[in-house]
Amino acid sequence: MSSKKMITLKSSDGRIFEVEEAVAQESQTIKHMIEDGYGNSVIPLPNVTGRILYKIIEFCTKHVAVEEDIKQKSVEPTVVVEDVKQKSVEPTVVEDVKQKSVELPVDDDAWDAEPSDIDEWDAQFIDVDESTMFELIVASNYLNIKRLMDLSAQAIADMMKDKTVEEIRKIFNIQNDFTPEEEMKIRNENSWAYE
Amino acid sequence: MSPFPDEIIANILSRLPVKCILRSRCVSKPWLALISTSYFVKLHLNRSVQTKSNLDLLLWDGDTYRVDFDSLDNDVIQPVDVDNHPLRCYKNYETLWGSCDGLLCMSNPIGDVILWNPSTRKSIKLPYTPTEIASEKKVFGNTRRERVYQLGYDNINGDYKVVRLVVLYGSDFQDFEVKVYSLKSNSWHKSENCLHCPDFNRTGNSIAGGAVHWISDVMLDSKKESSIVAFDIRTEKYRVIPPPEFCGIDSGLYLDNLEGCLSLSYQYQSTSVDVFLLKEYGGKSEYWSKFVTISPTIQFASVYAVKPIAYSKSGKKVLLDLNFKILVWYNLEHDSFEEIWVDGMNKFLDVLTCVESLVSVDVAAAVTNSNAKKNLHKKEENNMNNFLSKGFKLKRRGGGGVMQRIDEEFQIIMVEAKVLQEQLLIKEVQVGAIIPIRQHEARYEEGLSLNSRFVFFLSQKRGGGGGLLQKVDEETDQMLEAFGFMVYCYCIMKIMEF
Repeated sequence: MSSKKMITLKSSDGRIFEVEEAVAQESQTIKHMIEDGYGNSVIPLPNVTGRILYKIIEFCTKHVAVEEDIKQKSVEPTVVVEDVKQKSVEPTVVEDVKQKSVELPVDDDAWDAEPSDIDEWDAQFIDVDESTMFELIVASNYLNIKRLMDLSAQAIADMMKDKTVEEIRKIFNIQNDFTPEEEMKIRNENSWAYE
Repeated sequence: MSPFPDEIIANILSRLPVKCILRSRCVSKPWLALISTSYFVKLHLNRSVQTKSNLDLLLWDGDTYRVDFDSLDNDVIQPVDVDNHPLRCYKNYETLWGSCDGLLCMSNPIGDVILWNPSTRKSIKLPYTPTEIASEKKVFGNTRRERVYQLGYDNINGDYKVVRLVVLYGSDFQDFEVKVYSLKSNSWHKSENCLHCPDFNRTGNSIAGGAVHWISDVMLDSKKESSIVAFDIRTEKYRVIPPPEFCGIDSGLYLDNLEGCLSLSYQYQSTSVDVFLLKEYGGKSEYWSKFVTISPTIQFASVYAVKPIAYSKSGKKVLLDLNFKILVWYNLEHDSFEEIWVDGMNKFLDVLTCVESLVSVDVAAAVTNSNAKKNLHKKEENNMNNFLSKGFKLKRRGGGGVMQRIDEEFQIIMVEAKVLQEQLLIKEVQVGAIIPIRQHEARYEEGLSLNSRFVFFLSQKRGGGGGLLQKVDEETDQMLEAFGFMVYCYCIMKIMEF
């Protein structure tokens, strides 16, 4: 076990994650918080659920590993997940919790991947349902993780390409605030685009 | 109702083809507003250019044809006739002059000139302007005129410009005229002080570094030499660029550009052609760099002119038009050539790339929008004017400075730093970063800090500047009052008296 500095993150639903500093710093938002001196206490992320934060940590861990060219199968980043009762929001150590060491899913082939296979890994990573894609893009925007923002934005764009206007509204949960006349006027400006 | 911030929507939409984005205009009012901003148009354009997606190749031999850039990976391509452009009703052929940011400049034999965006299908016809060559009136006998148009972008003023060169040939003299059209003002004006008459036979699409270029035979040290003249489309100033050494007069010179880098193809020994690119354009160490040599030992019998067109997506190959007849990929790594067979065409007088973009040619809309914005923020503007009229000093961290008015309008965008942090989650902004603030693009300059209560961006269209707007006591340098709120407004800043 290396003696790297660990950063503690707390999701909106109270789950605690401990990650290596290098992994946490994939997020520019967290990086700035660390630089401002908050790295020694629990960093709350009230906009990110535990489920999504878990996935994001998986993404960042993978990319840090690829950058450091780690090819050892046995080195899995460990994530300490503590189930806590949401009584108070204290940035200090919480007592009376069960400590479970949860390992991120280790796909042997994935960890062994050459850097050029990272695009394939990314493609598999983002191959999720629509609502997860949206949660990822919102969270990665908040956490300012450019690579993940671009990946999820591209996935959503690819999914949107052939959809109709109504379908797009449904996906984004948008209310149509045009009157029928207004909408008709806009459509007529580029009527050929709707064929 | 959408929980997504504008920058996320913009990030997603900027990856879509133009047709899809145009459809998305009627999804909701916020989406329509976002798509219509110049920030978004630029974001989409820049992304397409960087990833070389949404790109077409246009081929012209009197008629215009197009093909997807991606299909050039095949050995044979089948270009399709572009038959929906606005000049099509004329039975005679149209001339394709140039392409810039998704806009095409075209004309017909009777002199109509248009700027057309084939992706949005919007176009504008340029107003008529006569030729005003003084010597024409004094001439007897036969004269003829030749005209060339070049389309470019003035990135300081955020304006698309068309440069028209007209050469008048008399029996024993030549004269010429340069006129410039600005899309923003939708008008032509003549550029004076023209030197060095252009030779159109040796000039192709020669816009590079914000200047139009042509080859001219110039007197240098009482000797006639072929030289390159550069005409800056913004400053309208000229300079002469000497060609590479050993390029003698009358050698087969042809001027063009490779993705914005000026290229010169030079035929020597009547068999081989060297192609040079002008590197470090406009800088002190501007120099010609040899790019490729095409000699008869390779598969072509003789080459006299080379038009470079574009790099491949990977950057390893370059598309070239040889002798206006042969389209080839030149592989930079292996120094090899692959010919592309073009079905249905046997000459390519012009070949250019055209990106799909949302760039607008709508002059009327630009004026209307700016009026609407002015009205909308009149109140804030009055507040701003009151503040400014009482005197202020523009202060930069690490040094003072006074902002002076230049004869242009400035857009002042002021943001409270706290809001900038919360909404955009920016703790520290990198120098040169373009920041979307309420859909307005503003440039953040060096020396600014978010620790101050207010951050202020000065956006001169695509230009930039910045500072912290404070009222300071001139002597003690203490801040008296600061002005900031989330707003966008027009304001003409006056030279302040203290």
